[in-house]
Amino acid sequence: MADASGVESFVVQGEPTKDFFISMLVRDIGLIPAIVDLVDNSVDGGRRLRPADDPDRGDEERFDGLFVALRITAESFEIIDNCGGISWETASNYAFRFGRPTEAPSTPGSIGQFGIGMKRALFKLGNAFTVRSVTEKEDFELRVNVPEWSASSEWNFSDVTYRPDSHASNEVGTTITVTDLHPAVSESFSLKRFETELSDELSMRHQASMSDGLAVSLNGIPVDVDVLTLLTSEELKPGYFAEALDEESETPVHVSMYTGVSASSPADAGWYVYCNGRLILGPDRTSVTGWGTARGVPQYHNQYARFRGYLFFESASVDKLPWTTTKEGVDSGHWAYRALKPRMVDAMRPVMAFLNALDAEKDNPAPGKESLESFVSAAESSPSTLGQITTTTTFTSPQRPKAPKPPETQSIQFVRPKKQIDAIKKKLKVSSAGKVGEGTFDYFYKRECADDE
Amino acid sequence: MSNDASYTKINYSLRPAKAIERKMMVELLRRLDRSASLAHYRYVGFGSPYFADFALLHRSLGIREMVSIEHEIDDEARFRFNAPFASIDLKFGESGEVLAELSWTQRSIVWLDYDGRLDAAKLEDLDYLMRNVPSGSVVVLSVNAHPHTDIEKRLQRARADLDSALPRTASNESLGGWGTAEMYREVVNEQIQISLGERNAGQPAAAQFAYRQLFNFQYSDGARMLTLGGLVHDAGQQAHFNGCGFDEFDFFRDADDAYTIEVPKLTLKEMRHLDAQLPGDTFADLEEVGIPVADAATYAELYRFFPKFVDIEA
Repeated sequence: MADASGVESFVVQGEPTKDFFISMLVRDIGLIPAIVDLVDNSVDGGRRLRPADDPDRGDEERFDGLFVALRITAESFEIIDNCGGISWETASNYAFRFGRPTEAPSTPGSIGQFGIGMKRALFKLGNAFTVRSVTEKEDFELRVNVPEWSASSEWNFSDVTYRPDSHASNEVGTTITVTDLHPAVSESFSLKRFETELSDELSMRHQASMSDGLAVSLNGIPVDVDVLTLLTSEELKPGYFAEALDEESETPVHVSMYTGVSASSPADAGWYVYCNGRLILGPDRTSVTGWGTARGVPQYHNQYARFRGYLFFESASVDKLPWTTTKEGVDSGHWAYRALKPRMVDAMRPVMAFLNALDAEKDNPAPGKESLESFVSAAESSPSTLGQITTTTTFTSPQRPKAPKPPETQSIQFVRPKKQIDAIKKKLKVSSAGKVGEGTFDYFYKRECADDE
Repeated sequence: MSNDASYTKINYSLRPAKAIERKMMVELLRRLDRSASLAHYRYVGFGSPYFADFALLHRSLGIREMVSIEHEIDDEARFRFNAPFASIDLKFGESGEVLAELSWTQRSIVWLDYDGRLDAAKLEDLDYLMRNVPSGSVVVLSVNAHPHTDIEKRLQRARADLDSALPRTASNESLGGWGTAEMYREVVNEQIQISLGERNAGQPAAAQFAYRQLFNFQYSDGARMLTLGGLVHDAGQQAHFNGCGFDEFDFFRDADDAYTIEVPKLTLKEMRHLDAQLPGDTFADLEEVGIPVADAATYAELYRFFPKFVDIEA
C-alpha cells in the first residue's frame, strides 16, 4: 500500500472480527445462566424503579406488582417485564454496546454491571432478536438479524424504530423476543426437564427479589419462591451480623451474614453468597467458603448436612461487589470477599461444634429428654425467615449434656471347644454357655483376686 | 418399595390382565420375524420365580438365549430351581449393574418389568438401554402408576422420585386417576428423546437411531399399571421394519392413547359358551344365559389372549 507521496505505510490489522466476538462471548456461559442473566436486566429495572429506601412505600414489599414472564418453546424465546423499560438515552448510547462505556450513567445497586449480559444471552439463544421497550416518555423497537449483522463491517445496530410518545404506566416495560433459535437451544427448550431445571435455577438465583414481591413465571406457571429459613428457638439461635464496609465512601458495601442449622439435606447444605440480591455462589462446600481451611472447620461431611450460611453483599457501586462476569462464582481475590472470609470461618466454628456434638450423640445417646436432637426437633416447628433475624449474635446452641459415666461392667466373649464347655456345664450344674463363662470367671476370681480388694 | 418382593404376595401367572398383556406383546413381536430371524434375538427380563414371560417367549417365539435379572440374591437357590429352561442365564444384582455388565452386540428384547414406581434409577436403566441396544431391539418398561392415596402428597412424592425430570405441569390433582401414568409416559418419552439424542450426536445419517412406540398398555389389577415399549432402530433399517405391519393389531399403540386391558369376570362355563360363537360380532342368547352384554363384548376382543384358570380339584 502506498500513499500519495509514494511512501508505503504499513498497517497491522487489530480489529476483532464479529464472529470471534460472538463465539467467545457465548462459549463462556451456559444456556440457563444466560437466561438468568436476562432476568437480571429486568430485576435491575425493578431496582431502578423502586429504590431500596423509598420512605413512601409503606407496608408493601419492594417489588409488589412487578413481574417477569418467560416463555420458551422449540421455536422461540420471549421475556416480558413491567420493570420500567429501557430509556432511549440508555438504549441508543449504552445498552447495546459491548462493555460499559466509562461515561455511562451507573444504575445504583444493579446486577448487570459488565455491559455484556443481555447481548451475550441473545447471541447464545438464536439468530434473530427483537427488543421492544416502553417508558412513560417514549418507546423503541430494535430488530437484529445476527448473521447479517455479523457479515457487515458496521458495529452499530441500524434496524430500529424510535417514537417519543407518552405511555400510560401500565404499558411500561420491556419485551425481548428471540427467534430462529440455535438447534441445541431449540432442542433443550422442547424438553420438560429443561423447563423444570430452569425454573429451579430461577427460584434459587432470584430468591431474594422474589421474596421482595417480584413475580417470575415460566410458560405461564409461577416460579416457586424458596423462603430462606434457619431453625430458631430459645436455646438455638442463628448467628447474625450486619455492617458496612468502606463506610466513608459514597457507596458503602452493606454486608449481612446469617449462619445456623436447617433441615438435614446434603444437597442444600453449605454457604450461599448473594450480590445485590442475586445468588452468585452456593450451596458451596469447598475451601472457597472456608471449608477445610482452619481448625474447627473441617472439610464438608454429611454430618454437616444441616449447616446453612447466607452472606449478602449490597452496594450501589457494582465494582465493590465480589462477583464474576457470569455471576456463577465469587471473585475470591476481591477485597470485599477477603474481608469477609475469615469472619465466615469464625461464624462456622460454633455451628460445626454443635453439629459434631449432635452427631456424637447418635452413637452415645444421652438419657432423658435433654438430648440435642430434641432441641433441634423442637426448633424445627418454628423456623425463622432471615428477615425475622435481627439480633446480632454468634450462633448459640443448647448446653451439651454431661457425658455419661463410663460403664462399670464389661462383657467378655470367647470361644472354646464344645466338649470342654459341656464338661464344665456338668460340673457347674448349669445349662447355658453363658453360665459356664460366669461360673468359671467367678471361680477364678474368688480364688486368685478376691483377697486383693 | 416394601421389603417384601412382590412375587411373595401374588402369583404372577394368576394376574389375568398381565397374562393378556404378555400374550398380546408376544403376538405383535412375532412380526419381527419378517425383518430378522427371531431365533437370533436374545430376551432379557426379570424372571421372578414364576418365569411366565420366559416360558412364553421361548415357546412362542423360539428365542433360545435368555437372561433373567434377579435382585433377590438371598433366594438364589429358589430361582435356579424354578428356571424352566436350561438356556436361561440367571444374573443376580440390581438391574442397573447387570445391564451394564451384559454385552449388547446381539439384537434383544428387553422387558424392564418393575413392580415399583418410576424413579431416577429406572430412568437410568432406560437411558443405558437406549444408548446401547443394537438396531432392531425392543425395549419395554412396566411400572406401577398408582397415585399416592394421600392427595396432598402426590406431587411431593413424584418430585422425590423423579427430581427435575418431573414436568412443571404436574400437580396433586393432575396425578390422580390415570394422571400419574400419563405423566410417566411423558417422562419416559422425554428420557428416550434425550438418550437417543446423545447416542446420535456426531453419527452419520444412516446411523441415527429412532424409537418407534409399539405398546402403551394400561390395566388395573389392584394397582394401576403402565407398560410402554417400542422398537429401537437406526435409519438404515427403517424400511425393514415398515414391512412388519405392527399397526395391524388392535392393541398396537404409537401415541398417547393407551390400550386399556379390562378383564371381564366370567366363569369358565360362560367363556366356553362365548368361545363357541367366536370369532364373530354377535352373540345369541346372552340375556337368557345372563352374561352382561358389555362383558361379552370385551371378552370377544380379548378371548384369544384370555388366560383360563381352573382349580383342578373343583
